[in-house]
Amino acid sequence: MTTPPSPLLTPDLLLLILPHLDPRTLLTSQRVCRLWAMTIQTTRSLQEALFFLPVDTTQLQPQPSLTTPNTTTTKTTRSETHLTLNPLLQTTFPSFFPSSTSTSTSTPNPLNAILPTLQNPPSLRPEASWRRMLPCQPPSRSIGIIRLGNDIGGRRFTRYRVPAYPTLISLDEFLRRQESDSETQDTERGMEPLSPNEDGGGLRMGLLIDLVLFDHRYFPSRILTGARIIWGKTLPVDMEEKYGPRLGEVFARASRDAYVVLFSPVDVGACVGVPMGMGERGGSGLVRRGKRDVRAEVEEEYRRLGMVGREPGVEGGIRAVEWGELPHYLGPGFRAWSEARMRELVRDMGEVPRGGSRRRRMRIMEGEGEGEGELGGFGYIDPELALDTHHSTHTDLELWALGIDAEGGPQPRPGEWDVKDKRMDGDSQDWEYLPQREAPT
Amino acid sequence: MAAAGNLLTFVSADNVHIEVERDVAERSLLIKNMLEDLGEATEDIPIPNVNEPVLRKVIEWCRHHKNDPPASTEDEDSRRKTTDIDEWDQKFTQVDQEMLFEIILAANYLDIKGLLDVGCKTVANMIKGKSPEEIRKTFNIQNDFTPEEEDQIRRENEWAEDR
Repeated sequence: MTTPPSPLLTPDLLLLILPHLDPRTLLTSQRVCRLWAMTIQTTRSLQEALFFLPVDTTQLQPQPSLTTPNTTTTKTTRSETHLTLNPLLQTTFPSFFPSSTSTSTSTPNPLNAILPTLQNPPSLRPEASWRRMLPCQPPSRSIGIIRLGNDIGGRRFTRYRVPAYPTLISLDEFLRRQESDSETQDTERGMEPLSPNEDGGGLRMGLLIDLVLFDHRYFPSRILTGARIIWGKTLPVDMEEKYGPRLGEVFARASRDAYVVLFSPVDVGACVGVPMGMGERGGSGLVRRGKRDVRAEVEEEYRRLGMVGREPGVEGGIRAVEWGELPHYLGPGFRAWSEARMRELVRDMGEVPRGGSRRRRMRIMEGEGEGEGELGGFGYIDPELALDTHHSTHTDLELWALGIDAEGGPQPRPGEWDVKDKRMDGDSQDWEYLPQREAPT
Repeated sequence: MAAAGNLLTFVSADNVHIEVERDVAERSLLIKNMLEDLGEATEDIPIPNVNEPVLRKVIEWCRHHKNDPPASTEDEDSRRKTTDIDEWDQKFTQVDQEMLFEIILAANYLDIKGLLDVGCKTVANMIKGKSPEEIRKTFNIQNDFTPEEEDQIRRENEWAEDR
């Protein structure tokens, strides 16, 4: 008797074995031989398992309930409310998939997710397959962005919608779609369920990462500690506590057709007009902690690979779909949160050397409305915004110091001290840290 | 339905006669359908593709599982779960690779869904976590790509190869 054929080289049997593989092995196994590559690439269920194709919901449930999350309770596990995140991308870019219970202080800077990929340059290639992967199933039709900004007298929000075009890198198709779509985008689509083949099947990871990477306006490096990436339709509890029910409403509208919402507490005035590719000059941005500007490095690597990124501004498909006031809200979680945040902030500024030459200029002032900012009058400012102010040419912001003392001196009581965070000249990263009484004028 | 204890005789490819209870034999859909078509089988049933040692293993599995509920219709979710090989089956599949492959081929030929499933899961568990090179080596698979073809696939997925 001749040697029997191996099941691993028998198409029918291979098809019974491969579905049991974990996604990583399944993905890399395309390189085993031609039969394996062809089987993996042409089998719909395997492409779904690898998040290259959206799960064909029409096969699982007759009426995909994309628009009515609460009215249908189907037996399928893939009902609309059940969002499955891509496990392979979760382990590769963990900070892009924070758990829903993480809080803003425990959420890592999403851009730092790029660090491991930088250490592993094959990842950045334009053909790297993670770019084509869906970060979630069912796929998202769009990315929602909620940006907070401070204005004299109050806080504003703007909500944007980014259609789920495949990528920001190869832009031909993107721009063509942009033109043909420009009329329908004003009214939000998203009411109709996503057909498996439409738009390449929804949001791809490449777009999400490049959006955060290239979008200096909505995601300036320095702001990213406050930025959140929120999956699913539930606003994390700490955010609701911190920003109030109004944000919950805005979020609910954003997540109607976006399973991922990027939240960035950016001061609007501070960030306008930073051109793509410039990076943010100066400043000690959090991303540059450890003397690396992650974003600049990635951009450099992109250029080396011959890829040209592009700022995804209005002309790139990002549209503001809603804006308004966000009333100040000092909910139950606020105080604990802001104290923790302030401590972090002060720690980031580092030790204050007494009488040293590199003094950090950060004024602590008593009272309100001092200095040229003319911002006296409101006693509460989101401390996260302080991170933005040192590259703001437009706005100076006051902080409610909440009794945090970085100098080891007497502890000021809450409300008694304000921290004045000043724009520094040029690339200076020095901060001066002075009690108000020693800071004349 | 045939009464238990009704004995059939299988004849393996290497011409060995093996007696098997009818309810055990009917774990094989091929045999079951054949018996239904024939009514009472009095003659020996040739199993031309399966050697004696493999056939005995297959019968051993069928005997252990003869009271399992009939194979349910394709269940998408249970098919995905890989860890749920029960203890007896795990012991059962602790055989060398050649035997395991032959069991899979036999289960496929005889249409024994449960056994085929266990076999495929076991092979999948052997593949998991291995690099393409290790997989080729372990299972003696020829790399039939041109260097260019292989390089293209590598470039796409190299990011996932370092673990």
